Amino acid sequence: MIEIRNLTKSYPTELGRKYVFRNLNFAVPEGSGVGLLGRNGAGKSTLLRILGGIEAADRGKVITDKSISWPVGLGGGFQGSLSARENVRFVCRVLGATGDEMRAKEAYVEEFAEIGEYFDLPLSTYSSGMRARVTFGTSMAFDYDYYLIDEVMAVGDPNFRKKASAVFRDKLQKASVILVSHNMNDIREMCTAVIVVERGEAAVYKDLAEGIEAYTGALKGSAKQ
Amino acid sequence: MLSIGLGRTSWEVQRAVVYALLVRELKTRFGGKLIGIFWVLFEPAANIAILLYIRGVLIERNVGATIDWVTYHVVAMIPYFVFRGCWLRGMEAITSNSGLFSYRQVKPIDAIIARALLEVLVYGTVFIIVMTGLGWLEYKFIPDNPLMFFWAVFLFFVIGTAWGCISAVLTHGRPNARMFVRLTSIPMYMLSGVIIPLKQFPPDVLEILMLNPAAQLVETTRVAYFEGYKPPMFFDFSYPAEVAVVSLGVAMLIYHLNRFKLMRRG
Repeated sequence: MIEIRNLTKSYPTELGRKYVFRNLNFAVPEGSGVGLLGRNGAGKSTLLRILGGIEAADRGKVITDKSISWPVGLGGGFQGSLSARENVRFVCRVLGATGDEMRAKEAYVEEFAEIGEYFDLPLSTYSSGMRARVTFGTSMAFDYDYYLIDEVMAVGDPNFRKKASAVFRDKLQKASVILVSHNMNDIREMCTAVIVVERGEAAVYKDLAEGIEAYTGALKGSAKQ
Repeated sequence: MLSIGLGRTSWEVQRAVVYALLVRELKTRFGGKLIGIFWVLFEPAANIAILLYIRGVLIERNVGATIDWVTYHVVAMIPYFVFRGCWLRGMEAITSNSGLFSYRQVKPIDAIIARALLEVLVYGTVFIIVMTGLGWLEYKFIPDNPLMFFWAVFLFFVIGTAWGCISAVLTHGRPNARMFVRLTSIPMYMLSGVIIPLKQFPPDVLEILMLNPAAQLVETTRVAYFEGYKPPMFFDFSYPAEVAVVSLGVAMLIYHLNRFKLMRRG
């Protein structure tokens, strides 16, 4: 279980301190998939970064006994001047997979990504879809209790999405995913609960339909204003 | 659940991360291209060639009757490059690796350490190649006091890395300030005695120049190499070590205070 307790996060900006969250309290619902919904700038990615342990909160804590992956997103984590293979090796070394283990992970990602000889060309030559295949594949090569996935699915073609959800279903037997997506079909397909982030608050909906309803309702509400 | 890397101590994690970053830096720096290796060797070679020219055309400067002047310059120049590399490349280390802080194991300090180690590796290799060449040409290539020479190189490395860390923290999110630091490093190189022997400066100027720990270390390398070498006035063997300890303390303090800010893109 992951529990967020009294979380406050702010950033200093030129226009003064901006609060993303103030005294946020909630528990991530149990279940295979949890969708994280919210409009742009609501703080979804910040929340993922805090969960992933790469951003420190001003106050409060994340309490968990589970292993949590790094936030798998389109930006960051990979070096554009290096090839996918070199990037995968970097991740392996950082996470302590060496020797045969490293070769196994490398082969797994290469097979998953299906980008042919581009696997040995610099990442800067990739399209965003190819990048997504590699970043997503790399995270799937490692076993975690929770995967944090930030919008990676959105840029994939149907072939990749089919493959990704197949791997997901397999992984979700024993692991969970926290998924940021603006695509309600993805959310419906992979999640059993949602968290709606809105104005520094997080509302947990254990019922999928209700959560999506609340989110789309809030969007419509703001569109009218 | 997590089958790999479980139960590593923080020391093991940091070592793995620094190694991973080192491999990555090596690949991006040289990228399997010969031109990268060429440049690293070319820089000291070009510096020495210019010196040769100036000496030949202008004046024959007296650095001491028993002293091999090519060795005199080279043994100070390459360690100086370690210092400068650790400092200036260390300053950029956090920004150029910011994407990799997505992995919670990777901390900004690891990027600075990895870069500094790479500088030692690169210039250590350059030094061995150049010294082998000098030995082959029958110049002096073995120091009279090897321990003191390594001590000087070590302090160059420590001060450079500490300054790299301090500069990285202070210029984080202010890329223009980096230009200022880079510009400062140029007169510092010119006035450190690597190229122009400091002895010819009048004592009141020399007193100020010798406040520069790099100038002191430059002289230390020469004292270590030549038994009969007389360092300039105000030479102080322990001063660079004191600067190293203070710099390292300041670097760790200011890094610690800013460690979360440094993880954000700046």
